[in-house]
Formats: sequence, C-alpha cells, structure tokens
Amino acid sequence: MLKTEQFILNVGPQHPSTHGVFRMIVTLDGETIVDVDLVLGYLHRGVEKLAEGRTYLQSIPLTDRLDYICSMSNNLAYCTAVEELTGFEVPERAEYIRVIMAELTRVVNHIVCIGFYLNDLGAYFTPVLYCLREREKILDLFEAASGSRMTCNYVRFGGVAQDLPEGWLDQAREVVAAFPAFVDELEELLSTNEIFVARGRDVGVLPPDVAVNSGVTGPNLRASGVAYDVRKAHPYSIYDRFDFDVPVLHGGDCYDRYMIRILEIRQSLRILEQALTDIPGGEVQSKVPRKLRPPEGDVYHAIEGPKGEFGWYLVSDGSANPYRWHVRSATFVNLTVLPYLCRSHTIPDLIAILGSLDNVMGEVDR
Amino acid sequence: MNIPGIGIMRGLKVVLSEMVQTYIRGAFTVQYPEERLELPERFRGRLLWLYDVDPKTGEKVPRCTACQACVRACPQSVITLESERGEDKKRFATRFDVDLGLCMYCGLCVEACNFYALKMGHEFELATYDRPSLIWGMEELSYPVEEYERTHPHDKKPPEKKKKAEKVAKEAAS
Amino acid sequence: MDVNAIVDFILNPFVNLSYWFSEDILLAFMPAEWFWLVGLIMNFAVFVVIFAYMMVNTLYMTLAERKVIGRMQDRYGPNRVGPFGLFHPFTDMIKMLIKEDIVPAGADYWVHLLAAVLVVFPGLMAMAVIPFGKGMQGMDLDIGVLYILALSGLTTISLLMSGWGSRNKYAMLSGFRTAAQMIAYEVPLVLAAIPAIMLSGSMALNVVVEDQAWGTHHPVWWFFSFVMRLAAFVVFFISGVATAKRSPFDIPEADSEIVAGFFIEYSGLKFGMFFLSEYFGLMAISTLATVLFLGGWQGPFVDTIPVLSVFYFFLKVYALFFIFMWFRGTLPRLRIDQLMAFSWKRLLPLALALIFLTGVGMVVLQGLGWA
Repeated sequence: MLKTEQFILNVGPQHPSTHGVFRMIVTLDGETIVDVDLVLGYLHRGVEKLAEGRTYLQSIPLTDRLDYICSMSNNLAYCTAVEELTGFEVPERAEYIRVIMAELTRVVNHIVCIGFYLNDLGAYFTPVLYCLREREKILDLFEAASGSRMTCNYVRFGGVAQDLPEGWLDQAREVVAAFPAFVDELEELLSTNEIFVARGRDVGVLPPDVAVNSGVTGPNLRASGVAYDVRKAHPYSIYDRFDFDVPVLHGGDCYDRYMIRILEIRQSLRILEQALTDIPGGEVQSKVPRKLRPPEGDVYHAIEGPKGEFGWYLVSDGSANPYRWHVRSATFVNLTVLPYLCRSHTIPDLIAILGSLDNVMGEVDR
Repeated sequence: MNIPGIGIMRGLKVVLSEMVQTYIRGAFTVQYPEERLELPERFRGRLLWLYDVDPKTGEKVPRCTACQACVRACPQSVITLESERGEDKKRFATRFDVDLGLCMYCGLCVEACNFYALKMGHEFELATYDRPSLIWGMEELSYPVEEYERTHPHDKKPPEKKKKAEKVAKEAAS
Repeated sequence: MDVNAIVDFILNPFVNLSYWFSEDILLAFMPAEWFWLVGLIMNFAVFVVIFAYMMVNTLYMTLAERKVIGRMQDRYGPNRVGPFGLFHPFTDMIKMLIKEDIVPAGADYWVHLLAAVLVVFPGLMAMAVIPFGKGMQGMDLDIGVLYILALSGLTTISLLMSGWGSRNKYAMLSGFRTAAQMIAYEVPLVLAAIPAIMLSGSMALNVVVEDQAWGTHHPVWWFFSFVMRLAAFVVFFISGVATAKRSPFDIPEADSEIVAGFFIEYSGLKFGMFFLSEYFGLMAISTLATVLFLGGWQGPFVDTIPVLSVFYFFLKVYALFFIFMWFRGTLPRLRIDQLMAFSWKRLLPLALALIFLTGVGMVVLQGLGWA
C-alpha cells in the first residue's frame, strides 16, 4: 500500500534568505507546506532590560541598533515618546530636520527591502547592488549630518543633536532630484518583468480582515486594502503640513507589497521636496535639563516607521532611569501572520513571502 | 508567461545599458585601500584627548579638567578617569583609559564635555590581534589641538577673551 | 623557404599541423604493420587537444562570468590576482584541490562518489563531434546530433544520484526537482533541433554546417531556412538554458532557497567536478546551437582563409555565452510549477508547430523547384 509521509524541514538560522538569524520549522507534504512554526530569539540582546539600567539619554544609541537599517526613524520614535511624557517643545527647524531624516530613512528602507526581495527570488544580486548604490548616496547625507552611516544617534529630546553642516541642504536637494530617475529605472527592470509578476501574483494573499485582526501595520496592511497610516490617523510632528497621499492597493499578494513600496518611495520624495524648500532657520534643540527626570506616569506613542507602526511604551517612576521601556516593533507583529500566508504554498513561495514582509531580526528579537 | 516576453526584454536592456555605462564612466567601486573616500568632518572615529601647546615653554597642556562628565555620560562605562588636585587647586587627570574595543562610538561623551577636551577624529582602522591592546591610555589618546582644528574647521573653541567680553556685556545690560 | 608554402600553412594552421604530425612524423617512422596504430594515436591527440581546450576554457569562463556579472552590477569583477584578475582561476583551482573531502555520516558512499565522477563525462563526450572549423572535427559521425542529444540525458542520472546519496533533505528536494526539470525540457530541446536537421537533410554536423552556406541552395530556400532556423533557435536556446540549469531556470541549485541544491554536501575536488560539468554543459549547448542554427563556422572569406572559420565559430559561441551570463545577471528564477507549465504548455506546442511549418514549407518549395 503506497502512502506518503509529511516531513519536517528546518529552514535554519543559517540561511541566505531569512534576513537575519531566524528559524522556521516547516512541515511539508511533498513540496506543499502544511505548517510553519517560527522560532525567534536568536538575536535577543536584552535591549529592554539594558535600557532600565541606563538613563533616557543613554538609551538613544540602543534604539539605533533595533532596526538597524532605519536608525533615524527609531531615534525619532523614542524621542517623540519621551517628549510626550515630559512635555518638551521642539523648535521649527528641528521638526523639519526630523521629517527630512525620517523620510530619507523610509526611502532607504524601502529600496533595501525591494533589493533583497529580489535576491530571494533569485536575480543574482543585480537589483541589490543597484539599490545599495543609491542607498550609499543617502548614507553619505546621514554621515555628513550625524557622523555615522547607520547608527546615527542624531535625534535628541527637544530637537536634534547638532545643526546641519553647511552645504548639506544643497547636497540633499541634488540627491532627491536625481532619485525619481532611479525609481523609474527600477520599475523598468522589474514591474513588467513576466517572471517577477508570475512569482508575485496571488502568492501569499493577505485578506484585510485577517491583517487587521493580526495587528499587521505598515506597507503590508496598505497593500491589502486598509488605508491606515499613523501619519494621517494620529498625526505627530508636523506631518499635517505636508501634502502627500497614502497609497493603497487591494490585491494583498507579494507583487502588491512590492508595488506599494515603490509608490511610497515616490510619496516620500514628494514630502522631501516640500520639506527641503520650506525649512526655516533657527535653533535646533530646546532647553532640556542635563539630568532628565520625567514625571511619573506612562505613555504609549507610535510613529509610522518604514516597516509599520513603531512605538514605545514608557513607564516612568520619577527617577532618571525608566521603570519599563517596551518597544512595539512592527515586524514582530507582522511575522505572526506568516504561517497563515504560507499554507498550501511551496518552499520558493515561503521565501518570497518572507522577503515581501520585510523583516529585520534586530527589531523582532530586540 | 507571455510569449512576447516584452517585460523581460526591458529588464535585459536596463542591465546591458548599466554594463556599458561602467566602461564609459567607470564603476561605482572605490578600490580600498589604494583609493579612499574623503570622510565628512563630523565622522565619529576614535576618541581624541586634546592638548594645547604652551607657546612659551612648548610643553603639552591637556584641556581635560577631570570633571567626570564623560564618565557619567557613557552608556557602556568605557572611560576610566582618575584625578588629583594640583598646587594651583586645579584638578588634572592622572589616568584616562578608554576601552576602544567596548566603545560603540556614539559620541555622547563628546557632547557631555564642556571644555572642548574630548573629541572624535577620523581614524577607524584600529584592528589589533589581542583585546587588551585596545585599551588606550592618555599618551595614545592625546592629540594636538592645531591638528584637530585643521581637520575640523567648524568645531573650534571660541577664544576666552570673546567669552569674557560677552560676560561683561551681559552684566552691563542687566 | 617558400613564402607561398608558409602562407598556405598559416592560413589553415590546425589542419596542416595535424597532417604534418600524422604524415611527416608518425607515418614516416612507423613500421608498416603498425599503421593502424597511427589512427589511434591521432584520435588520442585530438582528444588531448579538445580536453585541454575545454579545461582552459572552463577556467577562464568562470573568471569571465564573474567579471561580466560584476560589470552588470556596476562594480569590477575579480581584479586583484594578476592584471585584470587573469590568474584568479588558478587560485580557485588550487583552493578547490586542497579542500578536505567531507562525506556525510549516513550517506551512501559509492553513490555519492560516482555521481561526482559521472557528471563530467557527457559534456566532454559531446565535444567529439562538433566541427570547430573548416575540416576540424574530432569524429565525423553520421548521427552527430542524435549522439549529443542522447548524452544530455545522461546528466539527469548523475544528478539524481548526487541528490539521493547526500542524505540531506535539501539535496533530495533538489534532486527531484532536477529530474522533473530535465525531463520536461529535453523534449522541446530535441524537437527544436529537428527543423535544422530537416532543412539540411542529414544529422551529421559537418553536413549541417556546410548546408547553411550562401551558395548551396536557391535564395528563397536560403531565406526560408534562415527564418525557420532562427525561430527554432529561440526555442532551442530557452530549452538549453533550462537543460544547463542556468538562470532563470536554476531551481536545482537555487542558492537563495535551498543553499546549493544537489551539490550541497560536496566539497573539494568533487565540487569542482560539478562545477566543471556546468560549464561543459553550457559549452555543449552553445556549440550545438551555433552549429545547427547560426551557421557554425560559416562567415565571409572563409574559403580563402580557412583559419577565419575557427574565429567565426568561437565568436558565435562566446556571444551565446554572453547571453547566458546576461540572463543570469538579470532575471529572477521561476518556480518549479511555473517552469513545468512553461515547458509543457508553451515550448512544446511551439516546437511542434515549427516542425509542421518547416515540413510544409520544404514540400512547397521543392514542389516549386526552388530547392
């Protein structure tokens, strides 16, 4: 009597396509996936506990290293949460600088995501290197402003650490002006490529109700048809002054998750053009006491990070160290929907879906 | 898959045009270590412990006043500072060790220093074969101020006279 | 020294060298009853030349691939070892030879070993019948095309053996996929070669090449043959990319999903054998496509200066190599079911339609007297 057996495959912590150390225990029936079990925690560094032993200011370098591709965005999320707790005001010029840095980070994150999604699909590193080449130009901007390319440590409570160096705004305007041509080239290379479309269409379809129930946020949610963007729903900073759209697509498959990132890059470039022309002069940090003791209380404040809703839950007991410092990371919640998406697909689809969900293990495991 | 395959042709054309471009304008690569990129002024390299040079006697006068601000600011507790009081009642540092292997180059200590004594330079090629040699002391960290102000023209300490004149003007106004 | 004789020698050096070696050296010094040995020695000499060429070609094709793909990605390829990285293949070879030979604990040792040994032979054997130039062919078989296409089926066995003998789920998955893919794409490959054989009227590769010259047939027949060969070339080339397991059909060695696929458990020289077999397969497909569809060694002035035939042949072969590398650098890979659907639903009917059209056209043209 012939019978088939399910077998267990370990897409292990050492794998070229898991975007970090991340293990999936996949139960296969032939080539079809029956179940996926996620094993997280290989990159756990105890960041939340480390922050309880440090002051609020000393934890800013720790936030850089959570989602290490978008460090400016993480800094911004943390500083806005502390400002809500303490009530500090932020001067105009600092707000504009923060918005410029956050949108540049969003552009960087999306092109890295697209590049590595294509690497998972098998295009032998060519789109990755094109995307990284453009990312270098933006990282040069970050380095000129803050001193470091990836772990920027630039945003502070009540503003930013230092004013922009001279010539930075002109350099930024050049980079932003040259970027749409690159996005056009990327779309020419990818969006109509039949193989790419065939790998992405109807793969990993995420219905909007499942997405909302699972807590998925960010581009993954907007690709499923739910128009939720923290910048429009609960505006923070000065985003209500800029004129931009929130793109929404209705397919919910991998191709839509790729397409929505392209559309969001274009919207971010719109915001950047407006911000770079309207930026006023002035000082860049309001008066903040050296020894920061926030009043007792708790606060949850989130921003629209490049990967989704990225927020902090801070509980303060009046002393210089936080009592509880919890990170609501977007990818940790997004990954919970992976077993649902992968059912009855094959292993190449699993890799493609994982690539389109855009995970960075630094923020998942903290 | 479409039989015409026009999307694939467009992708192939993009890649071929990029390839031809590398022969015309050169590739994007910088061939390190023969070619190097110019680092921006604010690059956070290794720590520098600045000293002035006394114009009359020519000896090195460190700017550090051993106030322990950098020690308190560091998230990783990387700096070890021991000090003594001199004859002129001014504190000076007798031991200033920085573990450059543990340091994360965040720059919080530099921001905390009020005396323009601790800065970050452009050196990043610090690799060695054993860890204890990464703990640098006062002699290895010392750096002349002229050299620092030459490479960092926007980060100069305002001269003392100007500060005093501002102070006098403020008292006259109030 | 007769200048004319020297010029004649240089105009066709390889053929003249072989004549000089066989007649002026071997036949002159061989006793009469051992003349049969001369044929054997000449065959062996041809084998040595082809084998040496294939080895050197593979070495430098690895370097060329890395440099070409590097340029496509806006960076230099390897350029440290030697000028422009020209000594790099030797360091690669040394590295491969000195690595430890690891066999997994529960693996079937003989299957594991024999797979690595067997995988090299088909590609090498295919080069015996290819005409490299005018009058330069290892062996003139009447069924040359059939011989090469039969050899391409042998690789499937050795890949299945390597997937099974490695005792690794990833390798096994890849072995199954490989078998399915090879079987699916050999059918359009063979069927696409048929129009070329029909138009030339013979399976011997020398006849196929000489038939594509300009003067052998009526011009209408030549244009018809040109169009039909080009269409068949497209189908043959796509099937060839799949048979050679290159992007976008490189599911067997999808190295971002199943980490090197069927040769995941090989190291050292056995890995080198798989590597060689990939380039030998590419060479076999490229040369066969050139000979059947692109005119082989034909080109302008090939009658007066025969050595140009070698030049044209290799120009065409390396142009095809460039297209392989171009595909690898650009295209993402297809999923296994899409790959199968593409072969059975698109390429196979297309190949059959081409055979039909070629047959109808030939009968019509012969009936009209424009053969």
